[in-house]
Amino acid sequence: MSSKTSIRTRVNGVVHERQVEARLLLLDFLRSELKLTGTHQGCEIGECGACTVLLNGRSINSCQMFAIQANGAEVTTVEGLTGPAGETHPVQKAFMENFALQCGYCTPGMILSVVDLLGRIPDPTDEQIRKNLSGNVCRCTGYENAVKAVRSLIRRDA
Amino acid sequence: MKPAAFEYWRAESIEQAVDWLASLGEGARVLAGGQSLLPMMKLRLARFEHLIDINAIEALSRIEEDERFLRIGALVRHCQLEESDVIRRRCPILAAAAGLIGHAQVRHRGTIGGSLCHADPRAELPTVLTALEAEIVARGQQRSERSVAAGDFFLSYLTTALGETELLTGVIVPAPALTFRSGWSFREMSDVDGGLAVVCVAAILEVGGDRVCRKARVALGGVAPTPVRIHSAEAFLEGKPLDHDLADEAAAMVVNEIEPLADTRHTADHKRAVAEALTRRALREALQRSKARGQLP
Repeated sequence: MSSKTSIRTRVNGVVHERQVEARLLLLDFLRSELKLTGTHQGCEIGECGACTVLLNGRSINSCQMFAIQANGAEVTTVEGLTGPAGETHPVQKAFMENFALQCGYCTPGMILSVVDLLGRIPDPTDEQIRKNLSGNVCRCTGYENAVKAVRSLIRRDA
Repeated sequence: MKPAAFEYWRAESIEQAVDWLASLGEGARVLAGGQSLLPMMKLRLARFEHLIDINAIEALSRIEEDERFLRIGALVRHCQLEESDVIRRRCPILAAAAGLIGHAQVRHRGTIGGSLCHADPRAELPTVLTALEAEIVARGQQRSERSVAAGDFFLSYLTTALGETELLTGVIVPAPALTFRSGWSFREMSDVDGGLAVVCVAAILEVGGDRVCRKARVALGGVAPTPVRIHSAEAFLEGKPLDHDLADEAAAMVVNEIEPLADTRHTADHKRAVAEALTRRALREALQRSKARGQLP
């Protein structure tokens, strides 16, 4: 039963048409088909957030969706955060400046969760920051510097 | 692990989804948000020959209100319940409960229909909808439709009254304009922030100007095979002028009506103690809210 269906997705602004098995996870589509390996596999059951991407602007766990369901949708991975002239995204910069990563495995997912959060709530409280990062597990840092990084991005004039 | 292979069907209408459920038989399952279904498939706890994806059925995505009810389509996502002005204004306990589900990534995909069909007794929405005495609407063959009271919908762990060829299409929540003060509270305890609740409590108190309780609804999740209404506590509170002592007395009645199971992390006694403590806090918080002007959270 490995019949394939054609899907059309826009990933980081680029349209891709591919043939996929229905059971192919969006995570594996991004990594194996599109070679976008910035999105990482952690727990594979939607509990760790290492595979977080943006789907139509909202953070989701890409292991918790079939690629076929992303037909017609817009996906943003960490690779898509780089500016048109190669500029580092402000969230990535804040993470680097605040030492919010060590091994980096959880980092792409966490950064996309922050992008999602700040898109919805430009001036989050600490409680809101922690609540919205609760789906991104980090074994290395203890999270404090990630929270600091987000705080540094809050626009005081917002 | 990766899920086993299946045939994928993308329904464009309720009728199409229901027809396929009938014609594809036992090996078919509806796919909505997938936040509970996919882990089961990936752990190979469940395997389906056919998945009927209903995410394209726009008619299931609406939140509608009239004077007496909120009508919430099965595909409404948890984040929509949390963020909707209509829900926050008319039924703040539902918005609060939805905001506690999992973490943001789960709330952006998970649906109310999926949560109800999955029927995990620890889940927030089955519990809060039991307290709200909501009606669950299902569409069957030949455009038949029926509604089931939330109290009758959940039969046991992961088991509902939904027929095999029925599609859960929505939820009707009574949300009348109140002439008296309404207080509410939704509390839960989980081992990990954003993890599944161990125990959750939904408390709704309708209190007259004379402080007398007109109606009390208390429902707990995670303490039995289904969400449980604590009728003894409700009957105790109704008709009395409310204060904190009465709220605490009512909370103490919870332990007699629940049958929590021990698991790898918590003994049954611990769950009983948590249930009483959470109910005490929820009733006190609901009482406080009923004293405030209007229904602001």
